Amino acid sequence: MTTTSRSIPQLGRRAFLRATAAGGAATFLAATRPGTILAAARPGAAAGAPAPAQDAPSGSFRMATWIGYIDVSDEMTYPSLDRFRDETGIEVDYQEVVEGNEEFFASDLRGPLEAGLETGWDVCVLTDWMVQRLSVLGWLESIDTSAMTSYPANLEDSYRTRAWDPENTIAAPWQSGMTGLGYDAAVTGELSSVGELFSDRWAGRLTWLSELNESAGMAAIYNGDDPSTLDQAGFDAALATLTAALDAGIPRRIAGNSYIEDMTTGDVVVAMAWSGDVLGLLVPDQRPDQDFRFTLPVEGGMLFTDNMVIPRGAQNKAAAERFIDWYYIPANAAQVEAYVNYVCPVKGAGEEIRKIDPALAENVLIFPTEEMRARSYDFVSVEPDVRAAWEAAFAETIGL
Amino acid sequence: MFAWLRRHPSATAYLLLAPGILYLALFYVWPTVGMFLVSLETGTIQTGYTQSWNFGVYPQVLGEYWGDFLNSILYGGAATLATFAIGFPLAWFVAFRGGRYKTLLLFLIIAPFFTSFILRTISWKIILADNGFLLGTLKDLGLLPDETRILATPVAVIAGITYNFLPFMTLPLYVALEKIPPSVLEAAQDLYADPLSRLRRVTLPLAMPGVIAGSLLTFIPAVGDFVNAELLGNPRTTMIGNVIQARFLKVSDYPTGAALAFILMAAILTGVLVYARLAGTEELYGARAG
Amino acid sequence: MSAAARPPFRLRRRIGRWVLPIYAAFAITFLTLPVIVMIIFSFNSPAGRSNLTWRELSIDAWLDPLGRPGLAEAVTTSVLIALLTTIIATALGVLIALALVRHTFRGKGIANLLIFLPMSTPEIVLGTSLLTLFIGSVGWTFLPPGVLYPLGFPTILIAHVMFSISFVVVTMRARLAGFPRHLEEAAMDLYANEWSTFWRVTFPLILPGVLAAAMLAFSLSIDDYVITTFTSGQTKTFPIYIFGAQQRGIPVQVNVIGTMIFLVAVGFVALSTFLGRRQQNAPGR
Repeated sequence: MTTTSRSIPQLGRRAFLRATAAGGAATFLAATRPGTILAAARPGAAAGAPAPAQDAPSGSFRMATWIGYIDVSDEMTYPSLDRFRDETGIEVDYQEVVEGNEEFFASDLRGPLEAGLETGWDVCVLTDWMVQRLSVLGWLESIDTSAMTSYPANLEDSYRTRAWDPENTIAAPWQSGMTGLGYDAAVTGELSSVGELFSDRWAGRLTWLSELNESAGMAAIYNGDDPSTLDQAGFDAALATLTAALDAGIPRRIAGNSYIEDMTTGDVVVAMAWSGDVLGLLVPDQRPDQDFRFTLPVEGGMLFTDNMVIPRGAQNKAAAERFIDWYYIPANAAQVEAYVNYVCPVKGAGEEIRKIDPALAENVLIFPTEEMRARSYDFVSVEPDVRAAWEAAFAETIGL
Repeated sequence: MFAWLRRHPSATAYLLLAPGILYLALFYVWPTVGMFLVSLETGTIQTGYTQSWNFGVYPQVLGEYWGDFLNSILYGGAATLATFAIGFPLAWFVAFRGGRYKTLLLFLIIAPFFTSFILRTISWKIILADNGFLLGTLKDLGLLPDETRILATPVAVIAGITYNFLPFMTLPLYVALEKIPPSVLEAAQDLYADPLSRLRRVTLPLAMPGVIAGSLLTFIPAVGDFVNAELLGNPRTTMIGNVIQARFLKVSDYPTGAALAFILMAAILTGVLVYARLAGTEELYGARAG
Repeated sequence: MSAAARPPFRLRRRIGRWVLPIYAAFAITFLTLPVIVMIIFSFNSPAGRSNLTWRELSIDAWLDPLGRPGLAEAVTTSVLIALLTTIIATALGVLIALALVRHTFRGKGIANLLIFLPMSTPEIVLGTSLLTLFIGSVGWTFLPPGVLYPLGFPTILIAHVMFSISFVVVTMRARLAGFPRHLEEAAMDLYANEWSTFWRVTFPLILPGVLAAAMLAFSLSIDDYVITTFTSGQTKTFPIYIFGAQQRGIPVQVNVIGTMIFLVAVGFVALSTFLGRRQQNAPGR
């Protein structure tokens, strides 16, 4: 069973491509609608056929997420997902396609959802503020937790008080993480201040992140403001700080995940970085003359949470929900966490990680101390319209 | 039917034209008008955009983004000059000294076209890396100070554009030079002893169609480019293309993006049409395909 | 020209003789270096995701050129779109070129302008204007959803055909300009039928031009990034895949496929040059 369910999606997609190669334009137009592709690619869900029974999720589902967010084997397979398949018979089509919230919104979500179609994704991993936007627009399915055993039961308490998701049915946290200083200590020595990100010492060898929360948030911290209660004046001041540093030619680039590439080559030695990227992606591949480190600046850093959400019209919602529940079993979350080194939202994962590697349980980047939590700030949650205006102003500040 | 067509010769022409011209009307003319209308809308991604005939957007975006327009014109212009400086001697050499290697040389000139645009731009990232194969070697030899860098500077952006569009300049130049009969050059040799005068008074004027075609084929895509600035530039080398791209695909602020795109198109088309008046449309793109 | 001036003149000529070839050699190096780098890095074995620094020689990627998720789909999509674009754009473009070269009619200037404009419009403008059209089509009930919006395969194809047509027309027009009309007239006397004249005389004569135009359309389509990025939505072509991968580390496989495309193109050029030479040497020409 497992082997069949594994090979069918592949065959389906290839058969689809062959069919379109042979067929005429009409076939294309019909077959390129996301829904039909998925139907063709998914066993037991032929076009027009009823959805699989709710009580027995099966088949496969598609998940869109960021890189460096799951355990990867040397053979480029995902051991956690393989285990999930073996235990449930559900195949995960796991795609690391999210480069930025706005970019993903524009390329994958807005079009189909606005047209009343499904997106082709069953689970998307997106940051809090984007989840709020989608929720306001009515573009998310509610997560049916009634039959779940581990979610939200094992959700860490700090995530239960999110005002926009009181029932925990909108978004299930996948990882949280800290935004701070990533640097090559072999070149820079020990660093600890947020000021490094705005210092002309690293002019031309430093990158910022293209997400508003990160860059504006770090600038606010640098200004001595609290990003979690930032008002318009504080936001404007943060943008002014960014502008001044940009005019001085300090950041080399403002990028998404590509700062990892720039650090690997050595072109960049200080970066506004995501905690898990440094430990999970940079350190394992560093050369002998490199010494990548991550630190949460003494003045503070940003805390973000990326959540699993189910976009409206998802084709295999039941399988997606099964996966969410499965992930919230502490041992399963621990397996992912031991590899990705982000902050785990699953209660009890700490004990499980101790079983895998006691040292990891002491890692403050996975299990931050109280003191660290106190200086990791959420970015303020504002009205969607204000958010849109801020996004536009931020884009303008960074020259776009 | 054929008999009817023979009696109405222009009907044949319209029948031949109809499918293609309709297609262009549908997917070039109409979207251009549509984009202009979008540029006049107001709203946000949350509330949706509604038509409000907001002509004020034009002075507004020009005021906000004149720096990016300036970057585009500067980088595009510099790159066009650079492609000419590199392309003209190269085309001249291939046309007059190529001999039996002419085909091979022409092939090498268009070799970049056989490689993905993105991939060859990324190759420059490898070549120009701060401690890469080029700069690293020069730094190790002590020929360059350690802090020298080319990537993430305007120079890298201009170099990238120059590289990517160099064949567009070189080929029309080659075609134009190739057309000059040897007898004319011999006559020129008798008239002017100085090679520079020969170049200025004979070769260059005769190669003018190639110069015009080449500079347009280079300048137009160069001004609208955003890939080179994105991959090789820094946050202050953004060109207008980067802004348009970000407004459409990152911020979902369509009116601003549409207004900027419309200004870009209007500016270029005006320039080109003036140019075309002076040079004649047939000459403009004819050289490329010849 | 006095005798005294001669020696420096000759010296200058000798230098001149070498300056140009060296300059040309530098220019050629400039043009081919990135291609060589791309090929070399297809044999790299990078430590992690990043293939930007050389580590060690390996042919792993060549043994498994499609071995990355999404890569095979992206390449297939690109090839399919390029093939369909070639067929449609060549058909439409050749017809336009025939009309423009061989007929006089009212509105010819407008037709010429309509061919000229898309080539003079920056790609980013073509892409964004099509995007606004596609987004604007949301409310059209006469079209099933998924044709124009959400974006995907059909919208990429529409865009590629649009920007290819003009290039086909221009290429064909140049070829048709020197067309021996008297052969057709002779054929008309013999067969007395436009249809057979076209297929037996005209078509074989314009075929090399059609092929050249088709190759141009194919190469424009398969490498397009700028317009595609605005019209592709979730669908990934090979250039879109590379640009996405660029942000998280390009797999070596991308260089392998890039190299393969390069070699295929080289093969085509070599073949057409060879055929062209044979045609030139053939008796009767």
